[in-house]
Amino acid sequence: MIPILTAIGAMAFLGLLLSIVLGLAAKVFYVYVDPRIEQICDALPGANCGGCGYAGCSDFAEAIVCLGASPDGCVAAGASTTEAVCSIMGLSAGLGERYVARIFCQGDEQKAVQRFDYNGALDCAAAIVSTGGDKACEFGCVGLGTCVRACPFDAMEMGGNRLPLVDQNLCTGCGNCVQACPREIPLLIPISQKTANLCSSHEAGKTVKQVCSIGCIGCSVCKKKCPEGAVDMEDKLAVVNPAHCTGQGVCLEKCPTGSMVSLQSPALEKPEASSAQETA
Amino acid sequence: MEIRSLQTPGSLNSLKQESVRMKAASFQGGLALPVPDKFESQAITTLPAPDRVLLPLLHHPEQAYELQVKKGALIKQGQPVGEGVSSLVLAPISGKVEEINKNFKLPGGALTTAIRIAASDEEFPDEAPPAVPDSGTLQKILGTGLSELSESPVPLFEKLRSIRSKRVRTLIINCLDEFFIQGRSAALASQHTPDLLAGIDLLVQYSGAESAVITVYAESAQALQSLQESGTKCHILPVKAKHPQHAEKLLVTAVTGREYDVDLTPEDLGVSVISAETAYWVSRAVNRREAALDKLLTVAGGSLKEPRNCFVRIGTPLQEVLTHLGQDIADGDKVILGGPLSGQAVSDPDTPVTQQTHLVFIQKKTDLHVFSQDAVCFKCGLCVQICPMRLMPFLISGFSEGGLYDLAEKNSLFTCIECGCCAYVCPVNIPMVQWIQLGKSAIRAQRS
Repeated sequence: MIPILTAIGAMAFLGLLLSIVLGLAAKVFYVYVDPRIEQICDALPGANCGGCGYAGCSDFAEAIVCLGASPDGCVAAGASTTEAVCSIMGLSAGLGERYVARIFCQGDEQKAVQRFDYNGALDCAAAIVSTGGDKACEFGCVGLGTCVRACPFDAMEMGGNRLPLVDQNLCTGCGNCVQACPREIPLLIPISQKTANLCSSHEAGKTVKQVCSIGCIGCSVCKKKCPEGAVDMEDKLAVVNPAHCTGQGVCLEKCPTGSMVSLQSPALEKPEASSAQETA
Repeated sequence: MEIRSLQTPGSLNSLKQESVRMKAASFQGGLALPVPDKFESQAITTLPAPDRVLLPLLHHPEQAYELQVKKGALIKQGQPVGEGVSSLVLAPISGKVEEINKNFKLPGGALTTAIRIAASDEEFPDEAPPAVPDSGTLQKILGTGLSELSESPVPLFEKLRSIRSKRVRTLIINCLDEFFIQGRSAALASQHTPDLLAGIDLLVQYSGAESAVITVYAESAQALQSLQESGTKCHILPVKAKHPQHAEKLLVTAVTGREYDVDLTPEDLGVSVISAETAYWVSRAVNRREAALDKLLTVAGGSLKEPRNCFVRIGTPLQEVLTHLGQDIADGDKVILGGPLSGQAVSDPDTPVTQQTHLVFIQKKTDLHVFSQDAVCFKCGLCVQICPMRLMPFLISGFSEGGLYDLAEKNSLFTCIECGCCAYVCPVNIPMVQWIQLGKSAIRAQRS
C-alpha cells in the first residue's frame, strides 16, 4: 500500500512542479499575436492562390493587420469576404469592381491557319520556344492549355476547338492564367465590360487576313463609328475602354471580321453543351 | 544497356562494329549510328541554279549586315549584297532584286532581313561572274565571304585570326556528318580528295598551325581509303560512328583524349575544329578563284534509299531541292533541317537553303516519334547513361518543366548541346530536349 501512495505523492509533486514551471514560462516568454490575424485568416478562402501578391492567405492576413495592406486585396473571395475582413478591422467596405479573365483570341482550329501538326511538350511556352506554335498567327492562342493548368479555382477548361474557356462565375480574377500565358491571351477585364475586341494581333491587316479569318485587321472602323469614343487603336489593334463603352453595339455591326464581340451574349460563357458532351 | 535500333537504311553489323570499336577514338556515352551494309555512296551531284533565290542575311548571328543593294537593282552572281564587319553575303545568282523583306522569319524563329532575287539572263552577257579578289590570300578568303560552317558559324577570316593569335598547333578537320556515315563530308573526302587536301594545306599555312588531323568515321571505308591513298602528310584519325560525334566538343575530346572544362574553347587546348566543307571551299577560292555560292547538302530519309549528297545553290527553296531529287512529301511527313535527333522541323517548303543547312531529313509519317504529353519520369537513368556531356538530363528537363529554371541552371543546363540522345532513349517519351530548350530560353529572357 505504502509504495503506491509514495508513487501517487511523487507524481502529484512532479505535476505541481512542472505546471508551475510551465505557468512561469508562459508569462516570461509571452509573444503577443494580434487575434485579428487568426480571425481574418479564418474569413479568407484559404486557397493560397497568391493573387493578392502575398505568399498565402495567412501571410496576407498578417499583412492586413501589421503592414496595413488593403483589406480588399483578396481577389479570390467575393464581396462578403471583403466585408468580413473589413468588419474585423473595423473599416467600412468600399467594394471595387470584380475583374474576370477573358480569352483575347478567337482563332480556333477552323478560323486560324495551322502550319503543321504539333507533337511535343504540352506547354505553350515550350511550343513557342522550339516551334513557334502550330498556328500561323504570332499573337494568337497556342492552345495547349498552360493557362488552364495554372487556374487554382477550376474556372478554366480547354474547349473542343483548342481555345480555353473561362467560367465567369468561378473566375476570381487572381491573374494566374495571365502570368502563365507566354502571350497575352487571357486578360483581366471588369465583369461589367460590355464589348471587347477578342484579338491580340498587332500585325498589319494583310498578315492577319492570311493567318486568321476572325482576327482584328486594324481597320479602325470601330473607332470611327463608336458614338461614345470608347475604342482606341493601340498598334494596329482596337482596344475597348470599359469606362466609356455603353454596349450600343455599333462596332459589332461595323466590324468586318467579327473580332469585336459583345460580352453580354451567353455564347462566350463556358458552354453547358461542351461539359455535357464530356460527361456523356 | 539496350538501345533500340535506329530506323534507318541498313542493319547493324555488330561484329564489324565491335572490331572497329577497339581502335577508333571516341567519347563516353552517345548513340551508336546505324552502319549500312553497303558503303558505296552515290556521286555528289550539282543541282541546277534556281530561278529564284531567297537569301537571308544571317550567315553569322553576331554580325550585323549592311544591305548593299536596293529593290529592283540588277546584280551579278558573286556580287556582295550584304556586308558585315568581316564577312560578306554574296549573290548566289545573277538577276534582279525582287523583294527585300525586313522581317523574314528563319525556322528557328529568329528575324532577319532577306533578299529575294529573280534570275534574269539578259543583263550580263560577257562578264565573268565570280568576284574573288586577286590580292593576298586572307583578302581572298574575306572576299569570298567564306564561313567556318560547323555548328557555331563564324566568319573564316575571324576564325583564322583567332587560331593564329592563340597559337593553335593542330587543326582538326571534321569529316564527320550528323547521323550519316556516308554523309556529305565523307563523300567530299572520297570524291574530291585533291581539293579537300589542298584546302587543308592552305588552312594550315594561313593559320600558322603545325599539323592537321582529319577525322573520319572508322566505318566510312571509301573516305578512309581515298585519304590514305592520296599520300597526304596529315594524320588520318578514324573515329567511332556515334551520335553526336560531329559536335565540336566531343570531337575534340575524341581527338585529344581529354575531357575539358565547359568554359574552355578548343583553342585553349591548342586545337581548332574546321569542317571539311570549309577546307574544300578555301581550295576552290584560292586556287580557282571561285566563290562559295553552293552549299554541300545531304538529303536523306523519305523515299530515298540512300542519303544523297549534292551541291545546292544557297537560297534555293527546299521544295525545289526535294523535287529535283524525286522526293515528294506526303501529308503528315516531317521535313527536318539537321538530323532526326537534333534537327529543326520546318513547315514551310519554301524555306531557303542557307550556309547552316547541312542535312535535310524527311521522316515519314509512319516513322514519326510521338512524344508523350503527360508522361512522368520514373528515374530509370537511361538518359544519364547515354548523355555524352555527362549531365543528368531528367533532372534539368524536369526542373525546366516545373519552371525551376535556376535549379536547372545549377545542374549545368547550359552545358547541354541538345543532341537529343536523352529524348531518344527515354522509355516514356518525354520531350526532354524541348523542356531544356524552354529552360535555356527562359533564362536568357530573364537576363536580357
